[in-house]
Amino acid sequence: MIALPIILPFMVAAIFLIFPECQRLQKSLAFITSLVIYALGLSFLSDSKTVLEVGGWEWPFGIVLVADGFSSVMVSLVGLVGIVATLYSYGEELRDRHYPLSLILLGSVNGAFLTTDLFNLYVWFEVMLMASFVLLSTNVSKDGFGGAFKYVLLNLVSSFMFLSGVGLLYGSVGALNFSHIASRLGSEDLLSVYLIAAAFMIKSALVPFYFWLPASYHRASATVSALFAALLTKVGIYSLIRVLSVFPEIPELLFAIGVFATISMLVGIIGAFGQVNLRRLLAFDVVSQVGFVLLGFSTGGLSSAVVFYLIHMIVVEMNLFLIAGVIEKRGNFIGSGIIGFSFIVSACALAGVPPFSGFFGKFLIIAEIFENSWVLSGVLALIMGLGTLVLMARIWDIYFWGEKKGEIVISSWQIISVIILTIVTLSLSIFSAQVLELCQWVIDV
Amino acid sequence: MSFVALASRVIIPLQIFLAFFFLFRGHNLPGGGFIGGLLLGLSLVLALLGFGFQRIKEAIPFEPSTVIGIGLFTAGISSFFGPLFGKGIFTGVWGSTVPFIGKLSSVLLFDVGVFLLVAGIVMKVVYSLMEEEC
Amino acid sequence: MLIVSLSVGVLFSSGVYLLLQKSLLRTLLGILLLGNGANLLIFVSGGLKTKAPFGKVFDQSFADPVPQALILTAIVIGLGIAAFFLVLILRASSSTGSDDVAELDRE
Repeated sequence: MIALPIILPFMVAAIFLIFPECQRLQKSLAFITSLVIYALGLSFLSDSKTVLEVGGWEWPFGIVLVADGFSSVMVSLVGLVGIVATLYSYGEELRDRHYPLSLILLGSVNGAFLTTDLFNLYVWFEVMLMASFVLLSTNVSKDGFGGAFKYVLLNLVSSFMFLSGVGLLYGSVGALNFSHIASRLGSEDLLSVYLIAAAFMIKSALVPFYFWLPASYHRASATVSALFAALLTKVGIYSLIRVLSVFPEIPELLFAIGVFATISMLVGIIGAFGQVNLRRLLAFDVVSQVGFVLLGFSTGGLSSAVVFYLIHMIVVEMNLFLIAGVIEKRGNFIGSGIIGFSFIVSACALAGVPPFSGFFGKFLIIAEIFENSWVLSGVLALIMGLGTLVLMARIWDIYFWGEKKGEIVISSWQIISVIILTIVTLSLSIFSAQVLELCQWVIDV
Repeated sequence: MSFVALASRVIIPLQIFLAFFFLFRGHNLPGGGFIGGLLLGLSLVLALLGFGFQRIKEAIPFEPSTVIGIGLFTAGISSFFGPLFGKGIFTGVWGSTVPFIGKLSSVLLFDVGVFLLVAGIVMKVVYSLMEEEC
Repeated sequence: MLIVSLSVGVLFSSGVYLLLQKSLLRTLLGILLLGNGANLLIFVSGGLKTKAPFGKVFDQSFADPVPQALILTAIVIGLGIAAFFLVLILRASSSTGSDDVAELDRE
C-alpha cells in the first residue's frame, strides 16, 4: 500500500506514453491520480506508522519504505500540489508529454519522501531531476536555454557529490539504511556526511549554492514553475532535515547550515528587490524562505514549527507562482477581484502578517532562534519578514493598482486552482492551532 | 550497396539475438535488462547508419514513446505479482523452468520491462539526433 | 587499491576541469568523466576483493555485491542524463548557432 503513491503515477505515466494523443483524457487521469495520492497521504497519516520492506528483503538489508507522520504529511501535500497543478493546466497550452512527465515527477518526489535508504534516495532524486530537466527544457523559450543549463549542471554536480558521499559512507560504514547508518557512524565519516549534506543544500537552493533557482524558474511555463517551486526545494529541505535528524548530532555542520541559512534569507530579499520579472522575484523570495526554514531547523531541530512552516511554504509559494502566471498572461493589471484577494491572502501569509498562517510559523521559528541564542540571525529574520512585506506591497502596487487595460480572458480553471490554494492558506491560518497540534503529533510519531 | 549496409545486414540479426540472450541470462550471470536493451538499441543505430533514417522509420511501426511506455508499464505491473500471492509488493515470485528462458518469475517480467524501456530510450535519443541533422 | 584511488582522483579533476570549459561538448565529456569517477569511487569503497560469492559459506575475501548493484544503477542513471544532455546541447547549439556557453546567456 505504501508503494502506491510511487508506483501509481509511474504506471499512469506509462499509459500516457503509450497513447500520447488524447490530451483531455490525460488531464483528467492526471487529476484523478493526484487525488488518489492526496487521499493515500491522508490515510497514512491516520495509521500512525506504516512500514514496507520492499521485495520482502528484511531490514537492514533491503529497502524500507516508511510512512511516518512527517512523510505522510509531505505525500498528501504532493497530492494537493498535483491536484491544483492539473486544474491550473486546463487553462494553458502545454506541450505534449507534460502530463507523463509531471506524473513521474510526483511519483519520484513521493519516493524520496517515503524511503529510508540512502541510495534509494539518490535514485529518486535522479528520476526527479530528469523529469524536471525535460519539463524545464521543453517549456522554455528560445533564450531560456541558459537557465536550463545552469539548472542541469548545478543539480548534476549535486548528484555526483551525493553519490560520492554515499559511496564513501558505504565503504566505511557498510550500511545504507538511515537508522542503520546512524548506529554505525564514526568520527572518520564526517567527510561523507558533509558531502551528502552539501548535495542536499544545493538541491534546497541554500546559499552559496542557490544560483540555479533564479536563473531557471522564470523561464518555464507557469504550471511548471509552480510545480517546481512547490516541490523541488522542499525535497532537498526534507532530505536534509530527515537525514540530519536520524544521524547523531554534528554541531559544526548545523552551525554551518545556520550561517548559510541566515545569508540565504538576506540574499533572497535583496536579490528580489532588484528584479523586474515577477516570477524571478518570487524565485529569489523562495531562496529567502528556504533560508528561514533551515535556520529554524539548525537552531531548534525538527520541531512542529518547522513542519508547519514547510506546509505553509509549499501552499503559499505555489499559489503565488500560479497567480504570477495569471498576471503575466493578462498583462499589467488584474481587474478580477478574486485574483487580487488571493494575492493579498498569499502575500500576507508569506510575509507573516497576523492572523495568517505565516505569522504563526514565523513567530514560532523566530522564538526558537532566540531561545537558542542566535540573536543576530533572529534579528535578521525579523528584518527579512519586513523586507518580504515591502516586496509584496511593491508587487501589489505595480500590478494591481492603476488603470484597467482591457479584457483578456483568464481560464476559469486557473482561477479555481488559485482559489483552492487560497482556501487552504486561509484554513491553515484559521485553524493554525489545530494544525500545529497535528505537527507536534507528527514529530512525536 | 554500401559497405555499412552490407555489414549491418549480417550483424544486426546477431545483435538482436545477443540482446535477447543477455536479457534472459540476467539473473545469476552477467547480463540483464539494461545491457540487453542497450544492445537492441545498438542494433537500431547500426540499422540507421546502414539504411538511412527514412527507411527505418517506415519499417518500424512503433513510436519510441510507445516502447518506453510499454516497458515502464510492464515493469510496474511486475511489482503487483507479490500481493497476488499474498506477499508484500515487489516480492519476486518464482515459477517453473522453461527451456532457454530459464525460470519464469516476476523478476523476469521486470527485466523485460527494463529491456523495452532502455531500448526505447536509445531509440528516442537516436531519432531525435537524426531529426536534428536532417 | 592505490592505483584505483588515484585514477578516481584523476577522473574527478579532469571531469571538473572539462565541466568549466567554454565548449558545451566538453561540458558533456566532463559530466561523463565525473560520473565514471563517482562510480569508480563506489567500487573502491566496497573493497577490492576477487572471489565471487558462492554458496552459503561466508568468507572474508568475497566480493561485496552491494556496491556492484549501486554502480549499475548509477551507470544507468548517468547514461540517461548524458543522453538527455546531448540532445539539449544539440537543440541549444542549433538555435544559437555556436558551441559557446556564453551564447546561452544572450537574452
